[in-house]
Amino acid sequence: MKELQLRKHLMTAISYLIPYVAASGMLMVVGNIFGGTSLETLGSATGIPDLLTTLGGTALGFIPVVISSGIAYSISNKAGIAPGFILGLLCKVDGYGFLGGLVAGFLAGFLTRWLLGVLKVPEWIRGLLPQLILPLLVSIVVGLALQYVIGVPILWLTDAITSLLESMQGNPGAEVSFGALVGVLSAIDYGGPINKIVFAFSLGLQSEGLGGPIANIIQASMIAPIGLTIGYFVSRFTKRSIFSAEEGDALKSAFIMGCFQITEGSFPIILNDLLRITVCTALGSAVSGAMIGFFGVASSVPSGGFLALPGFNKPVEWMVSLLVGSVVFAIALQFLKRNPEKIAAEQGIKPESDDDSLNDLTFSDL
Amino acid sequence: MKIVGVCACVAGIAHTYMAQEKLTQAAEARGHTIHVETQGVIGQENELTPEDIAAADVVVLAVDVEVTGKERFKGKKVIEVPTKTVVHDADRLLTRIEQLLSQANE
Repeated sequence: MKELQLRKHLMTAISYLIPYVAASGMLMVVGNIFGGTSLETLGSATGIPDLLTTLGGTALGFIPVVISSGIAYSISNKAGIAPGFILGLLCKVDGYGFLGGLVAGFLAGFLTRWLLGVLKVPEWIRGLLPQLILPLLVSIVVGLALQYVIGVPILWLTDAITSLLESMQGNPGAEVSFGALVGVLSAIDYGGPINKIVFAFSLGLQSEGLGGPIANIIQASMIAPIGLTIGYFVSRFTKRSIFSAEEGDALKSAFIMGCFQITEGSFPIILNDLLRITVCTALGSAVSGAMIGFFGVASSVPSGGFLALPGFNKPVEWMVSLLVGSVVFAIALQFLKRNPEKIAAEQGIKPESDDDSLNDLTFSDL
Repeated sequence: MKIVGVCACVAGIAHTYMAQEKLTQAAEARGHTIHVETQGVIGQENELTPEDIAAADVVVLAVDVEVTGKERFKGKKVIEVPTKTVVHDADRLLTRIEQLLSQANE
């Protein structure tokens, strides 16, 4: 399984998906602010707000296409794009959603790569192979498989998850625990693979009309930067120096980026004390996520931080949840975070990394 | 030795550039010549030239995603690791690479 590099191909596709989703979501937000609604058809008489909202919404509906062609491209390079795109479209039309897009992308990519390797054709026809034969063949084979075989359990699974989550609505206990779970999962690796997978599934749910998990993920990405900022001021106020001067500097851009739901700005601080700060993140995000579940906050846009506010059904409740979660983070931080300068002074030298994976490192074949 | 590298992470905002910085610092501190290309969200920056690649003893890919232009490194000695390996401890990675290279040259 390891040599298939499933995770790497998925991450490649998600790296293409992030700017796509961000732009689509923002189109919708801007449109919504100016009173736009989603229309069935557009014309030269369409107002700009309606145009933006419709465009953003339509683009979000094409997520299976982006994910499928991204994965297929990652696996089999250029030859994967066409079948990946076509099969992603099938997933959109059939309602297989994000999950279907994933499966379609992997199947299209691996089949294309395998065929490229095994098909031996005469010289004169070689150009036709990636140009026509492969995309056609892969689209037919995977398309039929999706439509008549694989699509059945995908639809079943998607429906089961959706109806499970729908049945939780109105049940505060379930909403709160589910909110806390999503909050913790999407926050603890700071936009890493776990977060991206939760994000991917939440996007799928959002397209089914369930915007709760997405609203939760948006706060989860903001807890660390905002919590660190509050924690910094608390520590200044109580005259405890748990931040180094460098960290104080890094915090400025971390906070600004955090307001737009970019956690990465906080890395210089988080990485100094990963485990301890992650405990704070998990606590803060669990609280915030539980509150979002309790209030029933949902978002119609997939990302954007504070810019996404107009896309929330309950923006005030969302802000309160985020603030309370961040304060919890900041309080935990006072007990857990240590000043890196002090750690360095105490230990004298940098601790040896206990990561043994380097011993297995070898030159890889391209 | 001469090193070329490519760094790319999922979001292409932070880890890509942190890996580039750490790898460059660690390599220069050990007296190596190094050139690192980044493939962040804005695409290729600080692109490797064919001459850089031809002259390199080793290619270090610190990547979490599939990168553009891998075919450039065909026939070279390539080491592939996730970006976090470099961000956490580039020095240890370089020690290991030096070891591997001297084994390969024996």
